[in-house]
Amino acid sequence: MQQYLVISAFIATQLITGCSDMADEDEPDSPEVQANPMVAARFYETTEQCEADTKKQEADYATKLKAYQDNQLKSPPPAGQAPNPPQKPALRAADCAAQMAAARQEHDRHAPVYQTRQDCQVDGVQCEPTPAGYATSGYRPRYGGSYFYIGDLLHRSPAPRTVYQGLNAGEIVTPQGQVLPKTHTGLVAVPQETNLAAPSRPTGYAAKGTITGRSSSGFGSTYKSTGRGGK
Amino acid sequence: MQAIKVIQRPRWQAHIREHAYQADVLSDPAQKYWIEALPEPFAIQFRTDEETAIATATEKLWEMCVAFLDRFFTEAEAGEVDRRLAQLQIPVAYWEAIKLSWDRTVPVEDLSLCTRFDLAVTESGQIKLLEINGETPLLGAETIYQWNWYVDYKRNHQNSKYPLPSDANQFNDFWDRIAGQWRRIVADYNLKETGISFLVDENLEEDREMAMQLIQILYDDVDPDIHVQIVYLRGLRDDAGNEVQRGLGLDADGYFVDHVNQRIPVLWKMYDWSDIQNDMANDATTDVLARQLESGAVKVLEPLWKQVLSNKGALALMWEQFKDSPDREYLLATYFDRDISVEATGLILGMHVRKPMLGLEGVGTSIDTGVGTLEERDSLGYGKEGLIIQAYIELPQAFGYHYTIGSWVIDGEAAGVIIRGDTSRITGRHCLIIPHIVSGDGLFID
Repeated sequence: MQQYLVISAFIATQLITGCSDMADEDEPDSPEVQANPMVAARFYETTEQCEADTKKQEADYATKLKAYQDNQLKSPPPAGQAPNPPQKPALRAADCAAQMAAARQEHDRHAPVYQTRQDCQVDGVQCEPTPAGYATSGYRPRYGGSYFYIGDLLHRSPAPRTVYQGLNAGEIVTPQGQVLPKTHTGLVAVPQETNLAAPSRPTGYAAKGTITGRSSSGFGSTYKSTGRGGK
Repeated sequence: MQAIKVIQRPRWQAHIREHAYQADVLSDPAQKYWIEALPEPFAIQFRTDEETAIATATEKLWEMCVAFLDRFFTEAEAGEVDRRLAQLQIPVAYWEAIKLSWDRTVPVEDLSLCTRFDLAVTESGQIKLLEINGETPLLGAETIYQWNWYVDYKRNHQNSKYPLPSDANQFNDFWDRIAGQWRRIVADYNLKETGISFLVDENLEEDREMAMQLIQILYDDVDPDIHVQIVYLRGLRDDAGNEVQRGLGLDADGYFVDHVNQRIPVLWKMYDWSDIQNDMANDATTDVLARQLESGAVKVLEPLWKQVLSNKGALALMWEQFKDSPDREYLLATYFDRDISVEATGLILGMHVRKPMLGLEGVGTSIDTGVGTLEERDSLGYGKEGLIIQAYIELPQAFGYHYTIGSWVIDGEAAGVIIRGDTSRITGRHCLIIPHIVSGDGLFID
């Protein structure tokens, strides 16, 4: 019998659900976790954008590092008070091509396939016919770029999170259906919800045809809630 | 079986917050959901022979459920199975799917994760089945927390005003049995390949708490590399009303699809089949779902055959089947309210309980005396599908609370109990979670 709760699963699923009403296990007295906090990420649509931004970061890093080292030499701080060295950017310009190819691959693996363009557009995304050799033929959301999460960059190899092009200009749509404004590339703040935690999602289960059940007459429409303890 | 006083542990709320998935409701004194929110907390103490009797009854009742289902789905006379399905008001479109679901249990394919029986255990030693929570049994997280309470109490509070007996134990194998069944499901359904989605009602915290508890057991004891995700019934919205995650959907081939429009190969759901069926009738997609379910391609916990057990009409059919066998000792006389037999009429003239066939715990339930109603709960729209009448049994009481024993059965084995109390004789939404201990000789530490 497990005697005490271990919070690993809690943390893992917190990332997946972004649920808001569970107490913070680490800091019991802290306020509730935000429903969907904004987190920092980098957003690129193309390899060129990625390279331009990462080169800028690399140059910025080189400048900061030099200033830091010069400072250390000129006036060494008292022991224990040394400022932190600047953070090296984890995504290198040289990796951009591979990362953006991985993003395209992610799109091929996970983008849902619809029977008709109309079905596809119901979700507010621009759609295109599936490419030749695709497992199912039909229409899929058009690739709209990819986020790379800062947290990912610091702690492990970054995994791209792709989004779709929105029907309205200047909008992108996450796989969860959330519409985000497309402001600029590079450093952006996005809802944490767009980040799916590992273990990775199984592949090869794209829905087919028109999706029903999400209207006011769909799932949950006839349930008569009985409150806590009702089941 | 007796109620014993226990202390309100200093920092009990902090302990709950650190060791329970349903921290908010259990630690909130205003909701009086956990005993330490009461001015005089108490627990229930069983003797070891009582624990054995409950475990024996639970496993016997499960055997009876299986025997009942075998008979229910056996066509001794043409049209017999259909007549029974009609009697339980199960929509015709799903009859074939539900029969196939039971057929697939041999060899075992449409697996069940767990079931909770609600039992009346009286001070005189009677054990009677009140209800079968066959499809959407909650209280898993509460069952685990009561263990954490027991461990903390034995470790840190035996020098308090109310120590537990020195040999105190707890009848609680929930974690291990769920882990065991998860292992089987992981292997049989190939969860490493498919992942598993947990469907919860976004308006019901307890659904998510149950899901999180089961996910924790899956991750800690079985495999942390399985893809799990929470899927919401109608979708999740932020405070401003913007949708942040789409709800469950159904694709053109009748597959359930998640918020990113991926089919869900394995679904755990805290939502009854009858509600899914009503929703799909409302959405004019009954046939596509029913045909898909017939194929058995999508695995659902709990499987479709559980719909028969969770219907309270099953209690009437089980009584009919076992009333002349020794096993009747665990059942209460139960009839459909349309039954005009001498026995049913006799029951109506005395103390009896009326319950809707589909209503969930307590809803629409009334206790009738034959000449009037003693207590009743709001029907909230349930009962149109028909009612059952069940012989009345007085629940044991402790400190003003009537209490029922929730007894888990997992893979045919009794897996522990969780007790709920209610100031009403009908256990309902404002219930109290009461921990229990088991003690052989009642030796106390001085």
